[in-house]
Amino acid sequence: MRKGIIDRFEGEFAVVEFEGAMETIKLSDIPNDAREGDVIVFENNRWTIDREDTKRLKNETQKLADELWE
Amino acid sequence: MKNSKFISTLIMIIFILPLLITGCTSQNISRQVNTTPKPTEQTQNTSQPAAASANLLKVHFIDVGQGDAILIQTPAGQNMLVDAGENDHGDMVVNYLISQGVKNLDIVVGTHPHSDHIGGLDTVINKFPVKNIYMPKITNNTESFRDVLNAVKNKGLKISTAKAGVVVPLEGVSCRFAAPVKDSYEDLNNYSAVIKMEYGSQSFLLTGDAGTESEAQILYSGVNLKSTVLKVGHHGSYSATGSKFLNAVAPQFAVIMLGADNKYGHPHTQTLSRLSKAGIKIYRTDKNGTIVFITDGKDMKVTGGK
Repeated sequence: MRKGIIDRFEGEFAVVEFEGAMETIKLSDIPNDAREGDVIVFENNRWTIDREDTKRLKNETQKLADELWE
Repeated sequence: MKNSKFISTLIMIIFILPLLITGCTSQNISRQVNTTPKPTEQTQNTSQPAAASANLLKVHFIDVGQGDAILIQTPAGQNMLVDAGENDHGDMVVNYLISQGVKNLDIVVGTHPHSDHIGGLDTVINKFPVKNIYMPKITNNTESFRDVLNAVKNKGLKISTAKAGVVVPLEGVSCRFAAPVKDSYEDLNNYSAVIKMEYGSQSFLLTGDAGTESEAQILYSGVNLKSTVLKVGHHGSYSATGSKFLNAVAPQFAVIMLGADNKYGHPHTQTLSRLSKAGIKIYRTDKNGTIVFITDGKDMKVTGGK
């Protein structure tokens, strides 16, 4: 199982972070409703969005941001 | 006698000539690798700037491949960094800053939380004393972004919100954010901190990856966009540099920051032809390497590293 975080979209690619390293995946290979910041998982030969992990990371990052922004 | 002379000549050819050749070759390589632009060398002592170059503003568009990293050195000896390229370019940016005499950073801006802009920022923040950090108020879920936040936290620093109208505290140079104008966007690119900097009659507009939606809002906000140098939005993508926006900026020079043979097709032909048709001189980090603009507030000089 591979798990990555979508950093951004560039043309026909999603740029996805795997343990800190960036890779590109074709947009046609990931779900249509995938957004920047979504955690995606490769299982059973297809990519799906891990909503729970996305929410966990979003909360974790927001908590850190709330401490730091003036 | 003849024989021994022949032998000694032969020895010279075999042993000494390769040494000379190797010496020359390694010198050439070091010259290519060293992107330090010659004209900027005298002004590195920030505590006592050399009299001849004390009145110069320098803006360095650092070649970090597909990504942005811009160093601004003000006439008063202050240093400002806008973005720091991908994660694996952090050390390269640090080395470039050191080569330019940077010992501390007065201002650090992360234009928006995409790895090709903020990836190397944690390395920079860990390396130099930093006074002020500005970022638009938005997060991304990547490790790359959290690494930057943790670097800020570990230094006991706070982040100021980059948004339209906020003044960047630099001496002798006018610097303020023209965007983001709104609080919320669908696309992280449109959160990009856009910076307008003026010194005398010369000016710079640094746009991050701001797209046409943000450009339209900046135009509507009524801010004076006219600039001598435009850092073209989003690596020359068609998603930025709309006609109306370009007409309002009306730059003499455009800088596109991108990597050679990137798989996104940057710069897009629409953008290139729009710039060319307007008679704007284009510099590209994939072709020119690191590009440095130097101005005394009246004239602009440009040097390319490649």
